[in-house]
Amino acid sequence: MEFANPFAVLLMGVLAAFILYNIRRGNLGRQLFIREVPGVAAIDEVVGRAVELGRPVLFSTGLGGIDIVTLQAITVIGHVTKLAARFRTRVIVPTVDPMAIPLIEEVQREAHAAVGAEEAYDPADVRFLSGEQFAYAAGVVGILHREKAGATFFFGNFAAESLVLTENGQRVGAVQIAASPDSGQIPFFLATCDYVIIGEEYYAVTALMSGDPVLRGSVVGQDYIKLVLLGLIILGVVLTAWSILQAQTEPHFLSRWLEGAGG
Amino acid sequence: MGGSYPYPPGLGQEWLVQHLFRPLPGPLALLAVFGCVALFALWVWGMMRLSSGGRRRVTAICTFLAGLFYALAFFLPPGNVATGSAEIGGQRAKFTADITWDEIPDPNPPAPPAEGEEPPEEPSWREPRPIERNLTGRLELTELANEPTAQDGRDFLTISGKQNADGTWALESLGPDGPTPLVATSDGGYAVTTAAGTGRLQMRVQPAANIVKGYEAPLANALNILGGFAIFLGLINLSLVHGRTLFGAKPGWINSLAFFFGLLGMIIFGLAALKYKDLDPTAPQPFVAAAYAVMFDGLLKPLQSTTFALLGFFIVSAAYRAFRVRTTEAALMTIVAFIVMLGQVPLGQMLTAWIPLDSPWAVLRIETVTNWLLVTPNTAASRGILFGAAAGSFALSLRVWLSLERGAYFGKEF
Amino acid sequence: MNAPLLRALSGFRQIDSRWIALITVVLLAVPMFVSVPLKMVAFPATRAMKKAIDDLPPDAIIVLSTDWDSGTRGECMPQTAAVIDYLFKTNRRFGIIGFIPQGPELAQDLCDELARKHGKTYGKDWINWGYRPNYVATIIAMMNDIPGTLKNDIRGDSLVNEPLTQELKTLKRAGLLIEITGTRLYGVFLQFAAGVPLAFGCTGVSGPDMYPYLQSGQAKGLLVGLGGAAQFEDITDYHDAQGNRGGQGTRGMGSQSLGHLLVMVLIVMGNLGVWAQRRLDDQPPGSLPPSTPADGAPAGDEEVTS
Repeated sequence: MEFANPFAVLLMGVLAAFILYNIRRGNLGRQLFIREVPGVAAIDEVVGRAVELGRPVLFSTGLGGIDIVTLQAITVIGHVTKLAARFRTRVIVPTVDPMAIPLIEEVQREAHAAVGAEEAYDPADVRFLSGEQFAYAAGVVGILHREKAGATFFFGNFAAESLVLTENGQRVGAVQIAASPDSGQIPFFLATCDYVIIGEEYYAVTALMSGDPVLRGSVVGQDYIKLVLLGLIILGVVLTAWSILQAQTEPHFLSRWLEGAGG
Repeated sequence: MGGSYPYPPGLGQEWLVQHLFRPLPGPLALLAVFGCVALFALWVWGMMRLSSGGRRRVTAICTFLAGLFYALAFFLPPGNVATGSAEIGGQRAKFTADITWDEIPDPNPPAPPAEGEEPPEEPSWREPRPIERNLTGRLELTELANEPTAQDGRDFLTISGKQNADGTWALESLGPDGPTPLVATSDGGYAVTTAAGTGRLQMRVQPAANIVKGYEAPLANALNILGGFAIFLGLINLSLVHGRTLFGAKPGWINSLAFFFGLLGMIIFGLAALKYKDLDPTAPQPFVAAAYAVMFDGLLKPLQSTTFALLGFFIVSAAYRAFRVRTTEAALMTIVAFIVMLGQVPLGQMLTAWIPLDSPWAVLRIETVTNWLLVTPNTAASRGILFGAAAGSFALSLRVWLSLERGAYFGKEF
Repeated sequence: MNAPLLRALSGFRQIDSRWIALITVVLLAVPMFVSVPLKMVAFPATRAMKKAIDDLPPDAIIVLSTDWDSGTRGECMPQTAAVIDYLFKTNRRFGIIGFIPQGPELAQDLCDELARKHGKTYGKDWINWGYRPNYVATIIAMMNDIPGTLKNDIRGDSLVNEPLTQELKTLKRAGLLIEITGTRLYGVFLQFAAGVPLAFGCTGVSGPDMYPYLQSGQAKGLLVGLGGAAQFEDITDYHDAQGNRGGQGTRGMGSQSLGHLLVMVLIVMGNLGVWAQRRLDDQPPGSLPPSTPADGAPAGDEEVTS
């Protein structure tokens, strides 16, 4: 869909209002509950294990360019680097997008500075490998084996290379956390990683890591959005069933609205 | 793709498009490139001079503006426009029109099924319902040759029209004497008669767009150019990492040497082979073209296939390790996995091939069960994840846009 | 159950991955040399693909987007070959485009071969527009104007007098758009080519993600993985240039069958190993005879019995 129709405007407006309303509730000090995600709770423990083993951490941001999925991963890189830098443990970040290099370098530099470990910062830990999917995968596998990573993080959008990466992580004995909003690679991550963050949990990672009320509010807002979508689905089922029972040939109003809005 | 960009008029976009987003002759193009590089360097220098907080504020403002641009491009209703120009009696005139897109109702709607009769199966392809474009606009004098009169700027002619089946327009002017068809001229224009004299109208119809949509494509191009520069950033990064390993004779230096050979080989032979790209592939190839072909077809492509093929081994070993039946859920998942694996291949399908396809028991054939699992429970689960992820992505986008997110690039640190 | 047997079974818990790789290679390679006729039942998704093509009016022009490269050619190439062969066989005209550099090139090789087989002419029966970057911008622009957007074909010839492109001026008028890919590009078509009847070919891994679009009607047909290609070859009665029934998809079914079988056998063995180890662990320490190397137990299990 190139342009929003009135229904799309209304729907997006309502959804945005839910998010902003809950962010405001969070700001006003309301205690908003969101459940723990084991994969997020384990981030500290996983970094700790690499520190104990005296091996570096490998953090892959997947095949995505600079988009919200990669931005979320870069935020997590900052957090992981801070945890690791305290104990002078390296966080190696191989990337497919050269545009991400300055962003990740800056995040790592600041993370090192925040814990007083400026001297441990090495720009060579952020490495552009290749824009080609499998050349990138081969490069990451090489780093995994050469550096004997103690912990691996796979945060972002992955495709067929996911299993090549995580299976090799297994083989070097790394503790692995994978997170992807895309359901396609989840089966492979589940088979090879210790913790998997699935689908929408990915977008809640920063809220869970920081406990910030604004971010928690936005995650609660997400649940409201899902309620709206669920309501629309139920309404659609009822209306469709009704029009079948009434032998109506014309599509019902919701169907017409959605068809106009749909892609 | 210049001809197809939906550049609408208004807010000076046409001017921008004509003057900024067009190919420049040789030396000017070089100047423009260097100018852009200099501007880019100035921007980077400026950003580096800022404090961390200042940088964040600039990033937040840029993010907001970029988000606003795309939001406007999506939410602003599209205008359907036609524009044109004319010369009437030695005076210039401009033409602006709105186009409405109306569906032509089906002249022979299918008869509703009779009582008790099954409705006919919907074909998977349907002739798109024709759309009629109607146009209403006006022609207005803009530059008067004579002394200004009361008619200045208002000597306009209302024009309406319908699009013909061949894409041309049938226009008519609405004068005091009623509608008069405009005669199409041989050069694709129309002959018009107004109170100020007769002349010729040249009309252009543009795709539906709103006032910001037209900038999307040039912006995407600009982003691609930035991405092109970023490749150099990547190459510098790679060369530094491998240069340090190679010249420091660190372990694995041989891999770094291989990297430099690969990089230089691809660049040199790739560029040199460009000269021969139109050569008949069956003719004897010059050395550089053959070398490039060996590197690309004989090395890169098989290596890609090989890495992908590794998946086969990893899937087998990962499945062997991961499918451990420790709980009821795991047992259920393993059974389902077995059914799906068997149902997808002829060897598995042979297990239940003895059930006739037309018997009521055919629902128990393994491929039928597999199909049900894929189409029903799998679709339900996929949609659940998809809806959740869409909601999450919407919320995160809003947080990033409004700089509510935490992290090194947002308002607050962890 | 006696202890030596349990101990032998418990060894299945940790089969060396090198053995697994070797068995995989052998099992996948053998059927490539030994032809076994295997009958395949087509899934409704595959039959829907054929129906989507069959339902088109005779003069409809199809657009085929081949977005795969050497990485995914194992699955996508047989699908593309089967689809192109059927289009030629049913006298459908089509244009090829691709948003991955290798895609249209590899499709061109396929088309040249199949066009010879069916006696079809480039430019009259089919055209290859070649690779284009910027998929979103290109698809949006193609929706309104194909010749103006693409300007020339894969050979660099202008599309101004090219009859097929001049007849199919906009993507909106395409009878069917078939996207064959191992990437996530299908989402771009679903979003930006909405209104054009779409059908997809995808890798086996992407299959589960694609079924929702088939059920919603956004996809008119779907070929999933090598199996999808084999099924399509079967229902369209595909014959190769030598006149043998079935193409690359059908020939791959022997390997795929044995591959699936191997995975299942290994899963059963792994679970047997875990079960046997649990039985061994549950037995009181004194009740088991000391193990000998001949029992074939892994070294780690010594501690259990000592």
